[in-house]
Amino acid sequence: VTTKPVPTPKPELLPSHPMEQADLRDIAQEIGGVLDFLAVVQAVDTDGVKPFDIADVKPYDGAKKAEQE
Amino acid sequence: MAALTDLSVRELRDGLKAREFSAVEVAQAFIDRMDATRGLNAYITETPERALADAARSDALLAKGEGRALEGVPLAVKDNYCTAGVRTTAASRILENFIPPYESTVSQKMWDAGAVLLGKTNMDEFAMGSSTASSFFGPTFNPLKAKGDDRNRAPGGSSGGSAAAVAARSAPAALGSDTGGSVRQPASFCGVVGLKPTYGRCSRYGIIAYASSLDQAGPIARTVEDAAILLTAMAGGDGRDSTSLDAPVPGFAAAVGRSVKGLRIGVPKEYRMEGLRADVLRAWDDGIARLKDAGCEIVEVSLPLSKYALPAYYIIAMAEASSNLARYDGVRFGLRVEGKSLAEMYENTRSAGFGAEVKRRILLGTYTLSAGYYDAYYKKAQQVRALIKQDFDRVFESVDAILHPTSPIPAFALGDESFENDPVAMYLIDIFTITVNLAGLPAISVPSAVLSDEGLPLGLQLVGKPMGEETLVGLGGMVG
Repeated sequence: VTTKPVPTPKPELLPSHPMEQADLRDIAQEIGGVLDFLAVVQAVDTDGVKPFDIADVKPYDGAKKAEQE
Repeated sequence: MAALTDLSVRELRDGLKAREFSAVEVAQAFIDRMDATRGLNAYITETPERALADAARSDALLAKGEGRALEGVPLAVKDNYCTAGVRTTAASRILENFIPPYESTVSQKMWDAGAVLLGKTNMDEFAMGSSTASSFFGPTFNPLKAKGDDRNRAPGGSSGGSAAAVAARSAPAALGSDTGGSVRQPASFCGVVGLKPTYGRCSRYGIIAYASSLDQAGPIARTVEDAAILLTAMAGGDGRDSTSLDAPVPGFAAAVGRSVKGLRIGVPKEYRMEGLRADVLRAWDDGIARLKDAGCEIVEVSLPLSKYALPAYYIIAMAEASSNLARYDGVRFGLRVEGKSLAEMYENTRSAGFGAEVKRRILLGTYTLSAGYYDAYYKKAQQVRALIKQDFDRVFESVDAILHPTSPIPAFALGDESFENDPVAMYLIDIFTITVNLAGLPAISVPSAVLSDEGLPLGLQLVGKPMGEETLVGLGGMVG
């Protein structure tokens, strides 16, 4: 068994992507009006609603089993 | 005797067991039919040599009286199931030459039951679509045409190749996958049966991921009984998929023909929306009348949040897709297009490897997950999903199943610009199917006895409680 640490990549190999968040929004808005369609969910009153968790689907038992193991 | 390609899965299974015909004869009949219907483009990869070799092994076992549940029965498999040694593309250029070194759990279960692989069927790229037109390998054509209209029709999607192959008799049954209706909607368009099981009923291991909290394997067949036979072979817990359910798997086909007297069937009032086609309403009313005749009680129910289901579904599906598809980077497998730097290689590979709809969904999914927009889109969509699930929980306290159309329209003509140039119009086709995936419920699409005004099939959908597939199989046999 080796305990040698895994070398981390040198930063220059993984440059940060030049795309800024504003660019991303412009691109998304250009895509066939899809963003307006998705924004319809914002009309729903969700105050105090816990976001969906797949473990809430009954009789899903995967999370419980994983916890036990 | 009927042609071998006209026999159902049950008839093939029973005939093979009784040695009325051989598995090699059956495989050859379907290979000939695949040849005759190749113009439909239902298959991306055909495996005739393997089919004949598998069939010969089945004949040897049958001769010894050792046939298994699907011994010698041919099967088509959607091309997003990893099949060891057989090319698996997800209909994308980025996986055009990908040969998996491992087998998906569900397809392995089919081979363990004795089924024979005919080939891998066409689909929308990475299962993102409702027409099978986004395939890198070209569109699949629906074998059915409208009265007096020679235009090719879409088979639906994303499991359009599987549904078209079953409808065209080039496979007696097929495996599909259903993220937002991808088994049920093509079944509706092609006049066959599609069953989407409860989330977790079947393992997702080895099925190329699109949206992991929504994806589920499902069978497509010509009869409800055949779909039930396949589901029995497909279902079961799997240690390699932590979301699969370790629950008993009944013989679902035993529910076919069982009395449904006294069952309460919900009809959601919000789904009788303004502008719904008259022929679709007629098909729905015909299904209601048939269930009444069978002794069911019909009750109006309310699913008020359903109108927000489409945007919620697409936000969640696109977000999960943007994450799942990050692995296609040209490094470990799949297409690689070189560049001057690592970042340029990524960009070149993904630009060349993904089609337009996949790029659209990755971009939008990345956007909805990005800091500053996460709460407004992704978190909000997950909250709406929780409310939709609560709607169903409430309704299922008083009914055993829900009945409504599978699709608001029959198969549309390929080249119809109102769909092909407008992604939102295409997304709206999924209006009756996506809620089921959001809530993790089982559902079955069965052809209505009523055809559309153009003479095309219309599907009726029964939605059940979690693990309620047996109820759906029983009702499905009565409704169409």
